[in-house]
Parts: sequence; structure tokens; C-alpha cells
Amino acid sequence: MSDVLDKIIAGKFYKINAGFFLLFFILFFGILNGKETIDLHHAFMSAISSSFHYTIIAMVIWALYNFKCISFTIKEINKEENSFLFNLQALGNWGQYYLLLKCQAALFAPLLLYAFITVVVGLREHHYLLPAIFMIYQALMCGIAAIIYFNQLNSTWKKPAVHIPSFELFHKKSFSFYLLHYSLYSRKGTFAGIKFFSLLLLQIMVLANREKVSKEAVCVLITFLISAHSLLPMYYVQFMEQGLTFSRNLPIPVMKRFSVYALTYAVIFLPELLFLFFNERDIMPVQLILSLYAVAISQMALYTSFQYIKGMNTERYTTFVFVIFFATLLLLASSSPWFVFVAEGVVAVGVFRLRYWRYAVEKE
Amino acid sequence: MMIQFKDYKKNYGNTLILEFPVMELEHNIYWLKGENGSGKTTLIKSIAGLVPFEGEISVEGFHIKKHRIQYRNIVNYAEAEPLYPGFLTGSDLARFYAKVKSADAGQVTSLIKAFGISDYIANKTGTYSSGMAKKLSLALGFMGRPKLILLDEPLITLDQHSVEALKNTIVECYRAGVSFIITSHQEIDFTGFSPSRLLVQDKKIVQL
Repeated sequence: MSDVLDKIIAGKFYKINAGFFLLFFILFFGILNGKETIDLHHAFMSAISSSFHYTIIAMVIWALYNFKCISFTIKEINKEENSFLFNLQALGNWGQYYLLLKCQAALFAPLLLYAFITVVVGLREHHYLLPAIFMIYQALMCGIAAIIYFNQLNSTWKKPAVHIPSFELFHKKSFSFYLLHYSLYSRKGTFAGIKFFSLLLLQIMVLANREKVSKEAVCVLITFLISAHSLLPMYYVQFMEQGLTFSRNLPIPVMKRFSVYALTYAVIFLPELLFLFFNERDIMPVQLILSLYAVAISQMALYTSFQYIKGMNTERYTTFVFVIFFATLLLLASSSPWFVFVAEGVVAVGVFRLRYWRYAVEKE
Repeated sequence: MMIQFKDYKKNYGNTLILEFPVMELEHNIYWLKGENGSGKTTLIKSIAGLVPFEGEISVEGFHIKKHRIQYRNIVNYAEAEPLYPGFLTGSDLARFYAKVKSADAGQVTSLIKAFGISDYIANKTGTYSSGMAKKLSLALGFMGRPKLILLDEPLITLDQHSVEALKNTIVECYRAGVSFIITSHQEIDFTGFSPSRLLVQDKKIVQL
């Protein structure tokens, strides 16, 4: 059973998030040279082991990653094709906990490894309390996740321990806002996680670089934040094409269909727009803030249009996201964000118009 | 000519599902028969505009690829196993269909009444049984001013009362000039006349 869990949960998690991990790997290990990278991470680890504030920040990041693991696993457990997993109930409580804990450890492995090295660094530098707290925190993260999975697997006969409420934007739901309703109803965990992560990073940027924030730094961060949202277009196209299959039979013009996506992205990035507007207005002109907001919308629209390309699968999509990330960085460095907005928007509209009616759902 | 097919061909990957050079169908009720996997649903989905294909399909002179909006205004579709987003209510969907298919309030009300869905239409579709979702899907499939309605396995999961309501609605619409293509493994009998039979066989459509 452990092999099966590894394949359908841990293996799939790494496959789907290959782009995400690659991006993080390059950001944290690929930019500086070898010695500088080691020094940087040693400084991070020392800070986590010696400063309560840094330990808290690390814990928040660890919790966010755990949230990502948990929401992914719950989705997988509840998939129709994985309904056979409910047979695990026959193993008894401890048997199930053991398997699920192993599975969680596999999902959590990158951060567990980093935490382990952090604790070793802390102990070598004669810090004991914070490394111990950090180590216990790792065990708690894995243990809580295993309990959540256990409750999910046994939901066929047990009442759920926690119920996350759904949000209702409007009582009467317009087609233009279906994707927003979908985000707040069916993808509320992913959606909330992405938004929290995004705003947290912006907050960290403001706190850390209050005096010396530059346009370049903000552009890099915004491009990174847009990439962090790249999971949403994938879910949205899946929803529109598999959850609303009937809509293809309805007389809705192709640009109206495109506008549903664009409008959704415009609303989704409003928190970031407001954040920049209220926190960075002194350093960044309003026009720059608005142009970066426009880039976010057009780039998400571009991700959406790419979903309609024949033969698109998760791996190819993550490669596209990766390529667009660097292409946007280069474009932002060499030209105005308005130009990037127009360029990406034109490609997005073109690909969408060309591909929409030729698209057919393909199984990965 | 009501429905015309020209050089129609549908593959899934390298597997040919259906292929026929020309076919023309007059105004009628057609019962599309065939074994499991013969391509009935694929054909229905092609006519509904749900899946891409090679060739051309036109209804009342409107081409599926050239006149996308006009075509979809006159071709309605109700799927075999309807699945709706759980956060939408039946009323949300009815309003949505009524708007895009230009159905008037009177028609919406009468369809809701005819299919007996008024008791639960205000509830979220996530709470519906398969039979309830099916009745909603059928009611939505009749909205607007269609010239052709495609019903994929309309009788499955329906109770006897709803089957009768469906048959009455079909006959009423047929008399008003609406054609139907219906796939069903169950016998379809209408009081007063029998539907024309089409058989999907050897990747082709045969008119019986």
C-alpha cells in the first residue's frame, strides 16, 4: 500500500509541482555562486536557530508549504479514481497513521531536510531552545497532516472534525463571476493559500527593504508572485472545460469567454494592487503600480490561453510558466511594463481565439 | 434540409470513431441507436459543438464553424450524465441559460413546472441526486428557440412521471417545428407516431 500511496500522492505531487520546486531551487541555490550560496543559507539557518522572530517567519513558511501538501492530498484522496483508498480503513488506526505519516514525510521531505540541517547548525552554534522548538514543530506539522488525512479517509463513517466554510460573493451568480465563485467554493484552500503567500511575500519585501526598495526588486517579486498564481489558470480551464462542458453548446462569443478569465484575474490581483498602492506609493509611481497590475492580468490570461494548446499537460505547462517568468523579467528590465502588458495580452488573445474551438479535453 | 453533414470525421488520437462523407436529415424525431462505444455520444457532442471534428455540420443553413453563435442559438443539448458546479443553484443555471438562449420568463416557468423541479431549483446543485440533475438538464435543454434538440440518454435515472412529461414536451416541441436526435438504449415510443431510426454501425450512420 505504501508504494501505491507514493505513486498517487507523493509522486504526483512532485510531478505536478516540478516547476514550483525548480523555481525555488533556482531562486535559492542557483543565483549566487557556491560559497555565497552556502554563506547565505548558513546565515538563514543561524538566524532561524537564534532569533525568535526568524523562527516564527520560518514556521509560517513551513506551515504554508504544509498547507499546500495537505490540500493536494485531500483532493487526491477525494478523487473518484482514488476511491479505492478508502479500503485502507481495513488496516486499523495505527496501520493507517503509519502509512499516512510516511506519505506526509515524503511530501514534506525538502523542508524536513532543510529543518534538520538548520537544527544541526543551531546546535553547533550552541543554541538549544529554538532548534528544539523547530524540531518539535516539524513533528507536529507531519503528525497533524497525518491526522487530517486519516480523518479524510475515514470520512465515510466519521463526521468531519473541521469544516472550512464556503464563501458566497453574491446570491445571484453571473457567468462572468463563475470562476470567482469556483475559487471560493471548490478551490478555497488553494486560493486562500496562494493569496496569503503572495501578500506575505509583499509584506516581507516592505519590512525588509523599506528604505532601499527599487523598481527592479519589485518587478522581480511581482513576476514571481504572478508565477505563484499559475496553478489557478490550470484549475480554471479544467473547471470551464470539464465542470461546464455544456457551455460550449451555448451562444457565447469567444471573446466573452476570454473576458471571464481576464475579469477573474483582475479581481484576484486587487489585493496586491491595493497593497502596493498603500505601501509603496511613496517609492513607486501610481502608473508603475497600475502597469504591473496590468502585466499580472495579461500574464495570467497568457497562462490560460496556453492551456488550450494541443498536447498541453502539467509538465509542458510548468515549462511554459518557467519560460514566461524569465521572458517577462527580461522584458521588464528592457522595456516599459505597459509594453509587456500589451505584448502578453495580444499573444494571449491570439492563442485563445485560434485554439478555443479546436480544443478537446485530453487525459494526461 | 434540416441537418447536413459534409465529410464528417472524428478521431480520438489515432482511433477513428466515425466517418461519413454526406448525410442529410429532414425535420423529424430521430432515435439514434448503436452498441456501447459505437460513437453515439461522440456524434451528439459533435453536433452540439462540444468536441472538435473534421468536416462540416450545418443546421438550417447555419454552419457550426462559420456561424458559431447563430448555430448555438438553434441547437440545444442535454447530456447523458449532467454534472454541474456544486456552488450553483438550479435557478442560477436557469437564469444563465435563459439569458444566453434568449428564453422568456414564461417559458422558463413552464419548463420548470413541466419537469417538476420547482421544489428544489433554488437549492445548490451539489445537493441534487442524479435524477434531479437530469431533470434540470432536460429543462435547460429546451430553453430558448431551438430548431434542433440533442438528448443523450434522456430516459436514464428519470421516474415514470418525468418520462411522461419529457415525452409530452418532445411531442409539443416537434409539432412546433423542433427536430430531435435522441440516443437511448430504452425503447422510445410516442403516442401517435414512431421516431425515425438511425443506427451507428461500422463508424457510419445508417438510416433505417
